[in-house]
Amino acid sequence: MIFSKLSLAPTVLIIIYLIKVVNGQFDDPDYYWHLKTGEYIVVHGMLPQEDIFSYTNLGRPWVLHEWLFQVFIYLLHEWGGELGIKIFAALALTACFWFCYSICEKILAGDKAKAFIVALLYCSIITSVAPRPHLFTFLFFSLFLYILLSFKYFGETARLWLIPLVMALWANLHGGFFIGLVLIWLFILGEWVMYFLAKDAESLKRQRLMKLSLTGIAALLATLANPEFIRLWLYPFQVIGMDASQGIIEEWRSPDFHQPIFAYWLVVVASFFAAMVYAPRKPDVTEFAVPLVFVAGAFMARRNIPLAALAMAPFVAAYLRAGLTDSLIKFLTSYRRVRPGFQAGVRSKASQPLGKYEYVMNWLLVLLTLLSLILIYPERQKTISASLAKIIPVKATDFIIREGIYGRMFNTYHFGGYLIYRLYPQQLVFIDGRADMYGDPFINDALAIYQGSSQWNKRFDRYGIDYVICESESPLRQLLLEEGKFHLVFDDGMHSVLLRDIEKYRSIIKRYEGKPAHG
Amino acid sequence: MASRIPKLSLGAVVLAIGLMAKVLVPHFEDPDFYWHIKTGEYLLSTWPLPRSDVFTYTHAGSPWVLSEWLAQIVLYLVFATMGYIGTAVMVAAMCAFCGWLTYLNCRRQMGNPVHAIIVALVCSLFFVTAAPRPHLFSFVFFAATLFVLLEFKYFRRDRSLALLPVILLLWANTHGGFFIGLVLIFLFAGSEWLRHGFKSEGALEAGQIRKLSLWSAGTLAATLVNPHFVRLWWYPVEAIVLSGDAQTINEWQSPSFHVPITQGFLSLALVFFAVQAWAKRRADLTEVIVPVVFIASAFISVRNMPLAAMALAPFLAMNLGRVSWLARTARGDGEDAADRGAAFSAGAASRMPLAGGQEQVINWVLLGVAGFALALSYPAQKSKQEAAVAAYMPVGATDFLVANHVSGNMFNSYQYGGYLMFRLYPAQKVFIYGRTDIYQDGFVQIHDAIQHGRPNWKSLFDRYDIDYVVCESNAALRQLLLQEGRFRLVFDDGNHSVLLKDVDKFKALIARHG
Repeated sequence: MIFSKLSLAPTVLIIIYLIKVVNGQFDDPDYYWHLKTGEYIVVHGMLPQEDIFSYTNLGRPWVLHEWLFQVFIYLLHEWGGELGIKIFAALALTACFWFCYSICEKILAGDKAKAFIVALLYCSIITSVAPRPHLFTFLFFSLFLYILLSFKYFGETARLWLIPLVMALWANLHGGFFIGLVLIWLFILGEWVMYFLAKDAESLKRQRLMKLSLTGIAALLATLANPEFIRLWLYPFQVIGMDASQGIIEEWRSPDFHQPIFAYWLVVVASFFAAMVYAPRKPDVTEFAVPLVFVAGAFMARRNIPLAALAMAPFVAAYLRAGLTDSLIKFLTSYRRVRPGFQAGVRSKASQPLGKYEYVMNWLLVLLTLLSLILIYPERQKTISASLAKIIPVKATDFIIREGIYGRMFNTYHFGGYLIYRLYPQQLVFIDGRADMYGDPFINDALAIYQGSSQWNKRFDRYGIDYVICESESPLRQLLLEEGKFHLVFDDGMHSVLLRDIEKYRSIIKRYEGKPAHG
Repeated sequence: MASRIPKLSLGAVVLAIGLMAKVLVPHFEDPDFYWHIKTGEYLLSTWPLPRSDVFTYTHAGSPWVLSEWLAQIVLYLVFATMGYIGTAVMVAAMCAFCGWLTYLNCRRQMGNPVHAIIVALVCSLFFVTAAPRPHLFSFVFFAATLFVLLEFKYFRRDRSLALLPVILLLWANTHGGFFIGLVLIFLFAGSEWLRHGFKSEGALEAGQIRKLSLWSAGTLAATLVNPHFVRLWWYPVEAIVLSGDAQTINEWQSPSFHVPITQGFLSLALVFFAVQAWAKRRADLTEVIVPVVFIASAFISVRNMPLAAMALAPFLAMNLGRVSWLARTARGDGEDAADRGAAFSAGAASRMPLAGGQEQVINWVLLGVAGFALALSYPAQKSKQEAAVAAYMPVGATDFLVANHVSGNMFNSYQYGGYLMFRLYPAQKVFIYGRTDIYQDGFVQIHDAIQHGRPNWKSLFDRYDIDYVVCESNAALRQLLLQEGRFRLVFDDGNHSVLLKDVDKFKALIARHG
């Protein structure tokens, strides 16, 4: 009987989950090299200490700070295939939404409708997220917020033990673990500041704060449980300090507010500040510092937007609980010309529930959604595959495999992950998404070659490259064709394969000269 | 002794130091500066005002919207009579004027003049990026418009509203950004109308709101006094949206918050909201809408940052005065902004000396030391500025073209166009330069495809029968042309290159420099 009671919020959640499963995409190139790394670890039973995927940096020290995720994703892929990965990714995102909704509902004393609206408003900015380690960062971040805010607003300490445990996992799943430490310690510092500023500091509160502080210390120590031990602590700072990570990696750039999704983000942030300003009570130190730090982080790098959204939502719920709606109504309806019934209308409770029929309708809704999605799934997959082929060099790689092309390749940075996945160990790549391993000088070199900068050919010749796989629009493609030492053998309008005019490729070049393959 | 020393307030000292410091950072490496100068020169030499492009051979005769003619004439006259130093002083003076008005706006909201100086100074820091271009006039007129509106709102000085149409009339002839002034005025008027309509506390009375509305309508009418009449209203849409500037031109794009100055702006915006949250009294509708709209505009386009900083400064000052623990540090503890404003306008009674009679001496010493230090640093800053110009602008390449009388159809990098025009017109016309309203049919995208070596670069390039190319040494086009063999490299200083087509008229030059 319990399971038959499906209320509106879980209904919508399930529907969102199902939609995300169906729409899951694999257009993020990093997903592929994570998968391959996981395969290597499982097959060989060890973590590689040096690079194994590129010939340009073969043997260079490689810090595997996401090994646990890579193993997990590989095993999941082996067990459930692409559908298994989609289910996991959708589950992780839905769980984030669930934690966010749950804490909002708790703060709003069970007002499910308001909690749902707040969670939806802020979490809707988290659209499709690729199956990559940062999924765990979002998941654990939302979990920590739940635990910490339960501590803050309800004095609950029972779940604090989860934090160090999760941190130990987090430190092996994603380099973003330090975000968890930032969150915890911001909380701890904020709460201590308020404790010392309070006129009537209770000893019970002090005890709870001591518990929280010990949890924070334990969380920090827990992150040492990783293959790199204390060296892992330096990793986040190394990545953030890299110039190339901001130049070449889009997700590290600031949001472009000319794009609708980021314009929406601006509106979401504005709504948060409006809530903070018009709330009947002023924010305390924690309520101010925590969301502000993550909002600032989101302006710096768009990949932090989901974290900021998760950080803002519960505090908006807190302002609503404190009477934000009344405060806004008062602000607006101090203007007396508003219809007399307006205030009463806004304050009136939601319409009466439907009773048991509501649950029946909700189940029907879920089942109908499931049926519809099952029906459209094959067609949707075709669309997704087609759009994937525009971003990832699927056909170009098929061509390379089909024709048995081998040698020293030059590839576009973003292609590297997918090429590793399809071609390793037979072929090693020039470069891929592991920017932290390659470092700024090498990445800048690769960029200079790709963009056809001055001395591009000297840099290019240094690597003894046999074939090139790049976008059709890339300057390098045009330069190599002008130079005449390379021939175009594949071009589907988006991706190109060029072979050096040498003996081992003569037959392929002869076959496609003037009429490059395209599928 | 102290009474014989001329009076110099701390605010004046800060203003003077700011002005002198800005003279050292004029940003002559901004490419648009050059084509504005050239346009001003051309406008003065022809009458009536020209209606079509004369600077490019690709768009010769294309309709030309003279949205900045007055600014271009002023810039040219200053440059022609006083050279680079005079132009730098003009830029600094305009920025200082904006800073001064911002300070006045803040001072009227804060009891403590030092606090007002700090807020105004922080908000004026964004002028450090201001270049000698017509948008300076937008900054000046925006500051003036905001000042007039705030004087009206808080001190009921309705006579100053008469300045608004005059400001907008000048603005509409100096910079296409005049529509920002209209946005400010109508946002202001609109929110005050709403406050009046809903009878909120402190709202303007009927007579005042009517005056504001009339003068606002007057400003709209005033913008029609321009060479293009009502067509000018469409110009901002053409120049920004339809031209594709927002996608291709850096200053129209959203700021990257990896740079200190934009991080500073982000911090300022966050502080603004934080202070609003902690202020004792809630902001009214106007006090919310005006700064929020301009902050949003700065997030959308980085070039709007100085405007946003000016827009939020007085409201930040006001709210700082309303935060109880901050107000306790100000003289006039707990006073409301209106009370402080009344005290300010009452006269000297509110301008308490900060350090007794020695304040004047300290101020003069401060000014002297700062002035001396800045004067000492002038030669180094000048060299730095010249190096920046040479790094961004093809100075050496243009010298080469002039020295060797290179002529023909040129292809140039987009950002070189203004400088090349400045140096070569009328002897040579450029392929493209920084005014985008004259280009149609995806011309900017065509240029981009050629410059960056897209697959169809060659067919597009050949369409224009180009004789020589001036571009960056790192441009893909340079490498492509050298690879192709039809062009020869005759100049390269590591930053900028000149390539000549291997044809008869350039054979001697190629033999000498190729």
